[in-house]
Amino acid sequence: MQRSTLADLATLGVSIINGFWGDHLQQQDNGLAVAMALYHAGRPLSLTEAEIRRIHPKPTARLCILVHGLSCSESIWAFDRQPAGDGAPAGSAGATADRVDYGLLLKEDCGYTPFYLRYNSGLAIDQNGDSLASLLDSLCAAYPLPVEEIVLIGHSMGGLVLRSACHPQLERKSAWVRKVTHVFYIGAPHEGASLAKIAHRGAGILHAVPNAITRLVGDVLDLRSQGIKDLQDGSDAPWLPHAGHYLITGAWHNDPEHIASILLGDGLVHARIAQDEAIPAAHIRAFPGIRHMQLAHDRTIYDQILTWLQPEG
Amino acid sequence: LEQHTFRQIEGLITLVRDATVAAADGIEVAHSDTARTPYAILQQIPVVRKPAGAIAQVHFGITSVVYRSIRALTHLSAGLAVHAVTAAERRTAAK
Repeated sequence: MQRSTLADLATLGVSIINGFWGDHLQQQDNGLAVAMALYHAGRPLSLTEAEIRRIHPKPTARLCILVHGLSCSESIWAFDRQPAGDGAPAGSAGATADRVDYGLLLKEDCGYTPFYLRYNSGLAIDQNGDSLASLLDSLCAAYPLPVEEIVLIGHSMGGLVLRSACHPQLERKSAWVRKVTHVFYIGAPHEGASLAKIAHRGAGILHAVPNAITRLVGDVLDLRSQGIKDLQDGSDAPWLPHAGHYLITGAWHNDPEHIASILLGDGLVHARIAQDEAIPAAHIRAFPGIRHMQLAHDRTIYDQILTWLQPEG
Repeated sequence: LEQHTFRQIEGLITLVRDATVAAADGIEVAHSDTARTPYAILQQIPVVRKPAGAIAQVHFGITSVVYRSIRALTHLSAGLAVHAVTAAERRTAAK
């Protein structure tokens, strides 16, 4: 097995463990706990002007920040530039070696400079939101140019972390918050995730049954991280008033009215949201047939983001 | 291997140790709760009260020793593994 493949697998394993028990890992000062940072090529960036210039020799004044979801890492965003069977023969080096992501494509198409967050998704969402706000303060302070615009993209839990990061900053009037123009929430469970609610209710029922075995199973369910527990309720943080908010949802089946789509949502999340005047109908798009994880790396989703960013075409 | 990787390996060993000990604790409680019920019923029957009580004592004594051994062995193995990783880390750093 190649070294990079092993490293990718290790990163995936550590991200999954962090999602499920990340709060425990941090409390124990365990070496597996992920410290929040912006990552490039699998390594954390030190936020200095020299380091930023090293990875972005031609930085622009427009930033794009990508925030992954529960138990993921920044690798969730990557996909093949050229889909298999589209021009290049399947399995050829050209079809698989050239990996892109929404950030890289936004750099090419619109001149945004992308940054990818990795964080311990088992911590409380508000805690990660606070840490992200501080991190973006540091990024803007170290950035070689005055930042003019920030676009935020969050997948799943990442969308809730973004809402939390923007919220307290409203009062602090932090410079970076005023630069946020667009926030894209991709499969984000704003009103809570069904699976997290089922786990919560399941644990309650198992504890209520007067049996040692069911109590034990309930205890195991209760070991889930604070991050997962927070997904039960979604987010009630106010929407950043001056920014445009855009919701992208998926569905398990090509037909959104199919029983599988109704029961399973996009497989993990029913990303519906109550009517809110901060989100006009034109800012909500559903993509039936695109499932939860796929939402983070699909050309169709990128095209929609691009359409919203460049409405004039 | 980098220092960060050694820290992660140590972390994984510690996590497996904690999970094993927590599982042993939980299963021991569930085991003894489950086993207590039939012994309590048997002890209501005058003819078998005495032997049932003696068997229960032996049963709970043995299971307690087994679970304590599992915990002790887990701590010992994890300690040795962490020691080995620390030694490997030092050797790598010295090179």
